[in-house]
Amino acid sequence: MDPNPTSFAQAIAAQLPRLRRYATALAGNGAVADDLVQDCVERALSREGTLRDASRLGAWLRTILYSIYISALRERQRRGIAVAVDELADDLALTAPSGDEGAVRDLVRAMATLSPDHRQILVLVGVEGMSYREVAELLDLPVGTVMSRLARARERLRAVLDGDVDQGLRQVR
Amino acid sequence: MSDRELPPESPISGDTISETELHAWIDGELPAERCSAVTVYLASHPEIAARMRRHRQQMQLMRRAFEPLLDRPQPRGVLALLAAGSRGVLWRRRAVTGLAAACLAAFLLAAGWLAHRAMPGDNYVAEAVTAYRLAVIDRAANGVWAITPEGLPGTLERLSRRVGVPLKVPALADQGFTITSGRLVPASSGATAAQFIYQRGSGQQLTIYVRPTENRGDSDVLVSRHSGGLVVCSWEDEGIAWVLVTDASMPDLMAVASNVYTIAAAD
Repeated sequence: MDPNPTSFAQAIAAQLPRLRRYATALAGNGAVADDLVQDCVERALSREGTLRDASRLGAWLRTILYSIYISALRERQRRGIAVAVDELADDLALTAPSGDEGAVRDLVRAMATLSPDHRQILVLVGVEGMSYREVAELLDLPVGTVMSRLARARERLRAVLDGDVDQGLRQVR
Repeated sequence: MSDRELPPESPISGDTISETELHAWIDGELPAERCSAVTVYLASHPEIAARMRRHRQQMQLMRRAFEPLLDRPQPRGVLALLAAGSRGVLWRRRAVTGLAAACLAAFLLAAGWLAHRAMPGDNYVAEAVTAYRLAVIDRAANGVWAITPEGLPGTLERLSRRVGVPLKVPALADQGFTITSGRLVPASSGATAAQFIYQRGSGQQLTIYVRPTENRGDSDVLVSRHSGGLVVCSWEDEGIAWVLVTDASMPDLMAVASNVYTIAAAD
């Protein structure tokens, strides 16, 4: 089914749709995500030699992308630039199954209020559908830590969405 | 399993059911022998059961919300970067000549992909999909040339003259495809298109549809899904429209697209 593309670039290309979805879900903004993917691919191309196991290309790219994301986030915070999440919220609401539109918009906004590591673990499990083991390998953490971080992240997200904490979401509507 | 009733307000502690076990249960990662204990526990703790239902709904919503992103256009900047990267030395030469910077600038312009989502006015994507379906039905139709990987260069030269644009398509052996045939297809604009047909051992088929277009500029790399499990990737480049159609997976399609783009962009 899955022939191994001999070219490294083509193997990366095969990962692009999912890498871009990962970046968008993390960053909460399409243009920021595209920059992340571009930087990630550029860095990956220059560091082919550091990929030990070709079957872990997807995880390797996500690790690179996340570290670029964190430094870009710090830089933006230092300069006081906020990432606009409403555009993505409206955009994803447009492609949501009918009946989901409002909930999707709220979800995207709520995700933006979480810490990056909470957002990351929710995206890996919830969007990417990775197992605890795969997440543990990707993050280089014990499975127990993955489980407790996931539980905290989910509870935080639920609290924001259900209005258990005041995140200003209600006023936005 | 214990039939001892837990008081509803009992904290979730390690010796009963832990919070992480409940989440593992949501994710289907709880060992089978603990599942019935969780079911019993949730039955007697409706508030916790309701909270877990919310968690599950929210995770399902998250999956649905981001799923459509897989079918969005890919900014051509990334493909250009991959095309350049896979040609090693050329990449560095291009960086010096500033072409890479031009690619990056094009990417930055295209980064506001909402504004660039519009499909091209030209309907070459629909034409290519129809041509794909016809190629599946009628492999021995008139005007179909058998092509072998060895005979590809000669065929390309011949077809290029007929279509009026330089045709450069790869053999795609890296992706497990073999070129089998090619033909000329009349296009709606009055132009002539070339269609190249590839097969894979597993029974999958891929076509590359190329024709001139009125639009002289570059476009994003668009991806779309069509009935019958077809995935399509298309872009325009300096007056040539490229459309790849296949019943293989989206990742396979992107790998092929990267390969085709690289060959087409090679000087």
